[in-house]
Amino acid sequence: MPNNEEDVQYINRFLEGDEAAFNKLAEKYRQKIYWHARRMTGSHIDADEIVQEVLLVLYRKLKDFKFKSSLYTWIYKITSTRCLNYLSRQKVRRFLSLDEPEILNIKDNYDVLKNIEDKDKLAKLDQILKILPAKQRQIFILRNFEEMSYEEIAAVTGKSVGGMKANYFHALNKVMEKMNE
Amino acid sequence: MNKKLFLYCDNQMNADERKKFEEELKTDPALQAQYNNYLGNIKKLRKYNSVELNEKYFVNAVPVMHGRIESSKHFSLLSPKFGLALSSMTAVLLVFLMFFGKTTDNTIKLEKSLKGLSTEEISNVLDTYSKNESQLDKTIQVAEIVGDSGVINAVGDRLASEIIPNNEQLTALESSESYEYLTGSINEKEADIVYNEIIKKEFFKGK
Repeated sequence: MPNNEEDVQYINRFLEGDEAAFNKLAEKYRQKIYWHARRMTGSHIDADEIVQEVLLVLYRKLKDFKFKSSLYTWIYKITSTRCLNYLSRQKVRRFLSLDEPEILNIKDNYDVLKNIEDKDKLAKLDQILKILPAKQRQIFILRNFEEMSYEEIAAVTGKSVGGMKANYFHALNKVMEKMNE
Repeated sequence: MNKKLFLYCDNQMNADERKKFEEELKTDPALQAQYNNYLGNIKKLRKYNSVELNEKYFVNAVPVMHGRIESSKHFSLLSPKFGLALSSMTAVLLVFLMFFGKTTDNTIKLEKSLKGLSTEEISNVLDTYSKNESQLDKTIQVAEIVGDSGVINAVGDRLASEIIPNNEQLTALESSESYEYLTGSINEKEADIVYNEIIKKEFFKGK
């Protein structure tokens, strides 16, 4: 995906010291970051934490952005890495029983969703996505919800297009099986 | 899901292949049923995904980030002050754990896997477990004492990068037949002995 002209302008203005330009970029991408993180982790609290981490990384590293990829791809790359890192940490903590299941449930009581029906819909989605291993979930979300091409997904994940296709096929099969139960 | 159906639905067919497949779809009721099932499930997924948000949350995201940047300027992870504070707290915790450490349910569960393995296997497993668990305890406790979520995450990131490969080894061990056989065949007293061995090995290594 080529760089959006508006993004390039914001980046250049920010690098010249205009903080408001960064805020514009953050406003533009925060929902995308949040939703990717939310679908990956299945939790508002964790997604919120990832949004903050990603915005901080952007703020600090934007000066190193070389315009070799699009900002959009770069943001997804940071978000995806943070999500996978978070899921790995969670796996370790669960393995060693440091996160009690009750605590994990309490964490999600607070939410940004407006009504109960939406909470119910998202809970169903979480149940389905949860069956996928983290990396398959990542590809499934990028392909199915972000509607990225395999080339874009490969740029985000750093894996081959062929590998992405195979992984998406396996993920889709698992999702279909789960939904047909 | 049929591979050809997948390629069709995922737009991976060229025009000729699509035409041929569509012909097949018309004449094969089983394939048609699979296709309808796929469309129905995708529709459901889209429905689950279409939710309305409270916009107030997103309005706050950027100011919160700026607040974090400000507070991090006062307490940088890379500052000598933080390094000194972290190492002092770790040293205190090490001493505390050495003298007051108790056998926890986690420890018992972990050590249950050790009984019956050869000396060499025990040594390998002890190395892996003691490294992981003591690192985890120390790191989490330090992070919790510091009480700053930024610090907890930074420590957590480092912890994850150190532990994940070993955790995979542990998963491999757990799925082995010997682990299945050994789990549950150790009492608490035996687990205590193994736990003390781990503590000794971790804190007195190299001495």
